Amino acid sequence: MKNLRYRRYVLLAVLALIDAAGVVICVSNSSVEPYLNRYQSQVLAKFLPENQLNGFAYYRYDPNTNRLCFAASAGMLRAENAPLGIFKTAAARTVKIKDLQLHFSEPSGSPAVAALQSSFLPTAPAAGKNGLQGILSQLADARGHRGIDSGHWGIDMDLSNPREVTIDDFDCEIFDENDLRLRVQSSRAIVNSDWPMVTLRGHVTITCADGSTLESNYVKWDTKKQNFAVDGTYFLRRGESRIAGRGIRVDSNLNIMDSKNAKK
Amino acid sequence: MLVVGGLTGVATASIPCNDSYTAGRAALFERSLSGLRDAYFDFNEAMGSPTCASNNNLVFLHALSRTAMLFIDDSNLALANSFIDIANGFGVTIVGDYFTELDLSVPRPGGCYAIPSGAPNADEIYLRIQNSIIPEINSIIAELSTIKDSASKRFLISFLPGETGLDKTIKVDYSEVLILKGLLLALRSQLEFKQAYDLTVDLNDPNVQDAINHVFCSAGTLPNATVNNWLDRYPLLLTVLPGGNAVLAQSKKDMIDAINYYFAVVKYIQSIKAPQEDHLIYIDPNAKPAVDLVGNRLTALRDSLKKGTAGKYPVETENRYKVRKGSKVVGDLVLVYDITGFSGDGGTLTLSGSVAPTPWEVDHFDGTGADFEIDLEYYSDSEQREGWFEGTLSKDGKKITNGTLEYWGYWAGTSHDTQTVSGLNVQLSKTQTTYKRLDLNPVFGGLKKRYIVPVNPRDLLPRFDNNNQVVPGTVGYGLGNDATLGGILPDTNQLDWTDRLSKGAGPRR
Repeated sequence: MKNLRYRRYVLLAVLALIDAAGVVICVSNSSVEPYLNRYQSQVLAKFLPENQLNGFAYYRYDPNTNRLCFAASAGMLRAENAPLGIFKTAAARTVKIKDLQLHFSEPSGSPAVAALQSSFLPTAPAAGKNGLQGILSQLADARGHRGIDSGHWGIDMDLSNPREVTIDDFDCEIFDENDLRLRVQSSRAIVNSDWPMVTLRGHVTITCADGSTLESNYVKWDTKKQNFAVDGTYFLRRGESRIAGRGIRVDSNLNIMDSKNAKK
Repeated sequence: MLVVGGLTGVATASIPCNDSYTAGRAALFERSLSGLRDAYFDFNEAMGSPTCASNNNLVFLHALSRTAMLFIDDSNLALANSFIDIANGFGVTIVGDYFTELDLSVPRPGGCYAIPSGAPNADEIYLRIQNSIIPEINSIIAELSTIKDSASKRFLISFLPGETGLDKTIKVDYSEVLILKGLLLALRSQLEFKQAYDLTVDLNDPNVQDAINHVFCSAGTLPNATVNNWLDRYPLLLTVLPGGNAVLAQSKKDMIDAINYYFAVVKYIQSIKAPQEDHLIYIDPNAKPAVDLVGNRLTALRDSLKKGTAGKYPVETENRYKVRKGSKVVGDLVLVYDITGFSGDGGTLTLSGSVAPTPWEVDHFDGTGADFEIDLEYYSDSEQREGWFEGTLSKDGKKITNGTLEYWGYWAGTSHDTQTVSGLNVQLSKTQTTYKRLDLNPVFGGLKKRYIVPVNPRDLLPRFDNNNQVVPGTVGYGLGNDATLGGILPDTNQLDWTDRLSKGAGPRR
C-alpha cells in the first residue's frame, strides 16, 4: 500500500513535469494512440488548469510513405467565454493560442494532405457549423478524445460554439515535397467565423517558393481565393526588385493582383 | 413557410403546453431561422394554456422569440409586417437557414440593384411600422414587464447541454430580461425617430434608379440628380412631419429609458456576488475600466437629454510617454486616443538615432487588454519604413513594459532586413484631454425655452456644387450656414467642417 502511494506521488510529479514542459501527443496515421490510462487522466485533470493546455505537439504521418505530412505545436491553448461588447457570454467561445506552428508537407498530388490543410484553415460554413470547427476539430484531436471513459486521456476543455481563434506568434509553412511553397508569419493571427478571412497583425511576413517576401503590419488572408490584401504600408521584394507602397493585393506566389500606390 | 408553419401547427395542436415549451426550447438552439420560427410557434402555443402562461421562464422565451420574429417572420405568424416583409418588398431576401450560412440576396437584373415594381413607398413603410412593428414591440415590452424577480425568488432559466449543444449548462437571469427590454426601447426609439420625418421619394422617378446605379455601381452620370436637384425636387424631404414633434419627444424618452436599462443591467449583474462564468451574459470583473468608460459616456448623453443641456465628451486624449532602455531615456512616445479611450490612429515615436531611425508616425494602436500594440510607419519620397511595437500594459494604463520594436523597410539609401530593439519601457509623463460638446436636444425639440421646435435634418445639409462636392462654408445651409447645426455641435465652426470634409474617409481600421 505504501509502495502504491509512493508510485502515485512519482506519477503525479512526472505528470506535472509533462504539463510544465508541454504535453506531447503522438499520432500515427489518423488515429489517436492511447497515451495515458483512465486513472492517469483523472490525476492529470487535477494538475491542469481548466480550459487550458500548456503546450502540445501533434504529428501526422502519411500512411503509405510514413513521411511526416503534418505537424502542429503550440506553447499554450486556452478556451474562454467570448466577448459580447463590454459583456461576455458563456454561449460562445474564443480560443487563444500562443506560439502556433503549423507545418504541412504535401507529397505531390496527395489529396489527403490537401484536405487536412484545408480543414486547418477556416472553411465554408456548413449547416449548423461555423468555419472554425475545422481548425478546432484538429486541435480537439490533438488534445485527445474528450472524456475519460474513452480510454484516452482527457482534459476538461470546452471548445463548443467557437466564435474566434486568436493566435500570438503564428507561423505556418506549406511544403511541396521538401520545397517551401508558402510561409506565413505574424505576431497575431485572428481567425473568426467570418469565413474565409484570416486577419494577420504585427510584422506579417509572407514568403513564397522563389524567396519573394511581402511584409506589412496588417494583412487579410483570403483562404478561399488564396490571396493576401494589404490596406496600409507594405514592402514587397521579388528578386532584385524592391517595391513599397500603400494598398496591394497579391496571390499566393506574391504576384501583384491590384496595387494602389507603389514605389520602386 | 406558410406550409411548414401549417404542418407544424397540425402536428403540435394536441401537445400539452409543457411539451410545447420543451419543443420550443429545443428549436431555439437549432441556430437557424426556421428553428427560431418554430420556437415562436411552440412558445406561443404553450402560452395559450392558462397553466403555463404564468410561467416566468415561458414568458421570457416567448418574448424573446417574438423579438426575433420582428425581423424574420415571413409568414405572418407573429405580426402582419416584419422587417423581412418590408425588405422582401424591395426584392431583398435572406438566403440560407442556419445562422452560419445566412446571406442576403439582392436583385441585380442589369448588373446593378433595381427597385422592383410594387416596392412599398415611404407612406406604406410608415404604416407598416406604425401599425404592425411598433405595436408588437409595445406588446413584447408589456409581456416582459410581467416577469418578477426578487432577492428571495430569483428569475433563472438553465439551459442544459442537451438543449444547446454546448458543453456546459447556460444560465439566463433577470439581467437578460432587462437587456431585452432596453434593446426593444432602443429599437422603438430608432423607429420613432425615422417616423418623424418626411422621407417620401417617388420610387418610379427614373432619377432614383440613376442614383442607385451611380452610387452603388459607379455607373452613369447624374446630370439631373445632383443633391441640390434632389432637394429642389422634393421640398419636404427630411423635414419634420406634422405631428412629428410628439413622435420625436417619445423617441427621446425611449432613448433615455433605454440608457437607464443599460445601467440597470450593469447594476443587476454587479449585484450578484456568485461567479457568473456560466451565464448567457455577464461582466468580466477585469472589464471594469471599459464598463466605467461606457457608463461615463452614456451618463453624459442621458443627462444632456434629460436636462436639455449640451453634454461634454472627451473626444481626444493625448498621452505623452518617456521611452527608456534600461535606465536611460531614449525617446518620446505620443499617443492620441480617440473617443473610445482604448485605441487611436495618431501620435509619434521619436527615438535617439543610436536606437533606431526616427521619426515614426503612429498609424494605429490598441490597448484593450494587457497586450499593447502600436503600428508605426514613416513614409516619404526617400524613406519608407514600417514598425511594430508590442509590450505589456499595466493595469493603471500608465506603463508599457517589456516593449519590443521591430522595424524594416528602406532608409539611408538602402533596404534593410528586420531590425529589433528590445527591453523598451514606456512611462506616462503627461496627459491632456480635449473635450467637445454635443447636444442632441435641437434634434428632438420640445424644450420650453431653447429648441422648442426640432431642427429639420434638411436644414443641416450644406450646399453642393454640380459635382456633388460640398461648397465650403455652407454647412447648416438651411439655418443660415450655422456650422453648429442649430446647436448640436456648439464648438464647431465652418473651418472645422472644411478640415473634416477634406480628410475624406476615416482611418483604415
